[in-house]
Amino acid sequence: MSNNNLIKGSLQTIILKLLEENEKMYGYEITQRVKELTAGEIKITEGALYPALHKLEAEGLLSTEIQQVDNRVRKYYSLTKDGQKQVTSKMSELQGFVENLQRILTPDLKPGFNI
Amino acid sequence: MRQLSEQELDQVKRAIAAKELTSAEILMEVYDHYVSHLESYGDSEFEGELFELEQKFTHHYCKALQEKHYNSTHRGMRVLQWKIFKSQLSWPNFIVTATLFSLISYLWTTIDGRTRTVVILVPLGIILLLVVWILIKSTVKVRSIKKTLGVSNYIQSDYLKIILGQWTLILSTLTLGVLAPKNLGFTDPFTNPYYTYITFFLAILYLGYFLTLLQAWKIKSKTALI
Repeated sequence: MSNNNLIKGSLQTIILKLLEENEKMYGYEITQRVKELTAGEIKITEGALYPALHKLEAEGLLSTEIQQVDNRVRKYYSLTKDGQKQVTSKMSELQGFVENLQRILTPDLKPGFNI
Repeated sequence: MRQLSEQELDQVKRAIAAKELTSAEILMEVYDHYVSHLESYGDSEFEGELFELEQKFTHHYCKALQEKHYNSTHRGMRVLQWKIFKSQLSWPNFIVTATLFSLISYLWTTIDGRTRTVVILVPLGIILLLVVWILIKSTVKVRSIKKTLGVSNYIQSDYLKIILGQWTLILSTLTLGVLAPKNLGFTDPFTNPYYTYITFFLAILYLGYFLTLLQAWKIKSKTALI
């Protein structure tokens, strides 16, 4: 089943969270890390990843660094101070959404339910 | 993980060159993605994996990615320059800004119209020198990418493209503010009071733009291809 549409809204949060845990990452590394963490269940498409990274960079949440790796140039992304501040709020926003979604999908759950 | 052979790298380079990309940032990122992906597969899987990548990074997708990157970079530069400009109005930078503003205001009341025209050309000249310096630095940085990929077509950093675009806009204000009055029939625009306001506005604009561009370049030159 394709989960691309479900991932789309939370892609920025995923990127920010991964970069919070790893000091700096490059595009391909992010796709592989997500694949690894979700045992291949979630695959971030390149079509969504790179525009999201560029958008976050333009918003000043990510900074970039260019490094020579083997015989090529690699662009690393890392969190800026503003980006670090955003991780917490984006995470609680997403967690709140997941909790509410869970309540809709499982109405029997108690209101105090937390993921 | 393995190192790709020269033939395999050439195949990757040819595949990427066929996309006719002009953005150095996108070329660099797409090439790294291709090589990083292919390095994690054995040589027997190379052809198949390259084909898979070509299905994802189609000509159309790469062009769209390039366009989106340009728009994001443009917005990012605008936000950064605006942030720098606003920081000049906050304490304690405000003292420097206010002093500079007062000095220019005073200067403008003491010099004649013709001198004002010459004076506004000074910051414009400094901006030109800065743009040329950025152009040289960026060309040097982009050259290594061009060399790695062996592409012959014209490639440029999106940041440089934006700065050159801004330069054109800045130059247009001079044409509009200084040359247009003559074309509109003002025989001696230098004595017109409106001319004082226009040249004053241009002086502030050029100086403000120079300062924000310099700061933005100082920040971005550490990490971007400028």
